[in-house]
Amino acid sequence: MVAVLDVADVSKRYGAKLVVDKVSLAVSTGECLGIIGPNGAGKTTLFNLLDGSAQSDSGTVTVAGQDISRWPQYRRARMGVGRAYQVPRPFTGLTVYENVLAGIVHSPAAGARPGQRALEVLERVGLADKRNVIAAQLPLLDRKRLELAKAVSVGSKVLLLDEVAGGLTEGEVLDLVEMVKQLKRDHAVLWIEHIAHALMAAADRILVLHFGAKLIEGAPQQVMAAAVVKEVYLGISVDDAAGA
Amino acid sequence: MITIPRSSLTVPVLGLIAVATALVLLPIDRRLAMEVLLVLAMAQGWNLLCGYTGLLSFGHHAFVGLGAYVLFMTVNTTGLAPVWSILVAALVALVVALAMWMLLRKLRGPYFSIGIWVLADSLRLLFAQWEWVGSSRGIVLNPASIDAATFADMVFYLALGLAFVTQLGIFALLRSRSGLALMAIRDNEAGAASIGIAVARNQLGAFLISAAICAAAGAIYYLSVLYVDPSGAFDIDWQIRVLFIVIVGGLGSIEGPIIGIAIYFGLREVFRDAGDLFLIFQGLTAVLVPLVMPGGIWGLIAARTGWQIFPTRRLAD
Repeated sequence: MVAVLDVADVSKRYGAKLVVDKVSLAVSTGECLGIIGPNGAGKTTLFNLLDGSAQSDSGTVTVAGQDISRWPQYRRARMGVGRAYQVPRPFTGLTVYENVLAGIVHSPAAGARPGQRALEVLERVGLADKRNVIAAQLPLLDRKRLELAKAVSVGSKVLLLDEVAGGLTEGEVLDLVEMVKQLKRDHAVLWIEHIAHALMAAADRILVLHFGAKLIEGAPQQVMAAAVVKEVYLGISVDDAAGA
Repeated sequence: MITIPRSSLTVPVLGLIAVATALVLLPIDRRLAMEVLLVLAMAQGWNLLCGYTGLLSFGHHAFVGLGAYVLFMTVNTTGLAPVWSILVAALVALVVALAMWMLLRKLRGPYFSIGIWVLADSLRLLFAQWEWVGSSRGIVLNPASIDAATFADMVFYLALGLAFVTQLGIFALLRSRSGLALMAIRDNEAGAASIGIAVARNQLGAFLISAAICAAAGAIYYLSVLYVDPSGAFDIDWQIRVLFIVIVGGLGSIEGPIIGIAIYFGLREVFRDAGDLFLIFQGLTAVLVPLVMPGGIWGLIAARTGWQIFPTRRLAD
């Protein structure tokens, strides 16, 4: 299977600090790649390099065979890179329906009936019954749903989800996992998440970032069990873990 | 949660026709009406830039002065009729605005505000030194270019026309695809870029439109007084007025500037013979309204009721 998103050796330096260090990864449609790592590991910066809100110093980002490494953010979005931010960025003065419509009408894949498509997207994230509500009035879970809907609205091929489960209750997290599984069917999904069980339930592979570099990548169970992951991510030294 | 009431275009269209008819037929002070209409056009243009694309300009008096001077020089040197010279003024303002954009494009937030303010004051100094445009003495419109019998009516109808074209044009823009982009930028600039909206291009568009509107308004205003000088035409008071009107009325809506206009000219007429009392009350309003109503007067009304006089919402069935 050919990967929709192909990232080769991207790096980003802020001053003396190398924040993302030659990271490579590939994700196909129908696949979810979970990304974990300690605070400051460069996870969100990696997403910034993928969606174009920051420009990489080196390396290439390819979506559907097109090199988009130097494109500005809005062109990458139109090309099919959708992003849900850690802190939702709703258009607070617009209705839920308008929030999604805004992305659809700016997508080359808008089609003849953008209104219809907006309702379909809202249906998928469970917001259809709140379509005419002003976004500022939504509770947190609905803001997270709307953030997902906006990421999908541009006709995304790739979905970048940045801690979308953060701040939700247990039950809400389970709802969200179901939503991600469902979106995975026709998207390549990258998901940064600290809630381990949520990620384990949806991810096909997990990648661990540490000091900006890829530490390990593999099947979820295998990665979570790896001694090196316990050391950097849980703060347990390999010797302690072995002795216990 | 507020459900947005269904709205139609009947209210704004009939409302505008009623206002226009009243202005033309009733025996109102046409000088004052002309000024109100021109400041309304400026406020709507400036609101498009600041209220929707987030660029807080402190320098739009540059375009008021520029528009006035281009009109005077065009009429006096080429003999072109004043009506057509307004279009020349707007076009020149577009070109100058584009050049200013090249200098300002990397500046955001307070840097943009101060940067454009400096450019506006530089223009004032330039015109005050420039012998060809009369330097600090200013210039008088060639009296042969106007017909004294119809002149007062003409400037009034020009102001009425500009206000209506601006009002309806911005209303139509906000109902178009671009409107959705502008409102998304207004609510969350970074979020707008992430759904495929070209933020900088929309900001440039709004900047050019607002510059052309202010230039046309400045041209018509100084046409009516037949004389222009640098300290009046490039007076920052033009900018302060618009700022007051839009912030007090409500930033980022079409209704806000209209309310702001009513308050500004209401205060000014009430305290017309009371000297500095007007400035005191204007200052009090400018401080108190944003403190009590951060979204301005219309912002509070809209948040409480969901009303729209100029409906720009797209409702799903």
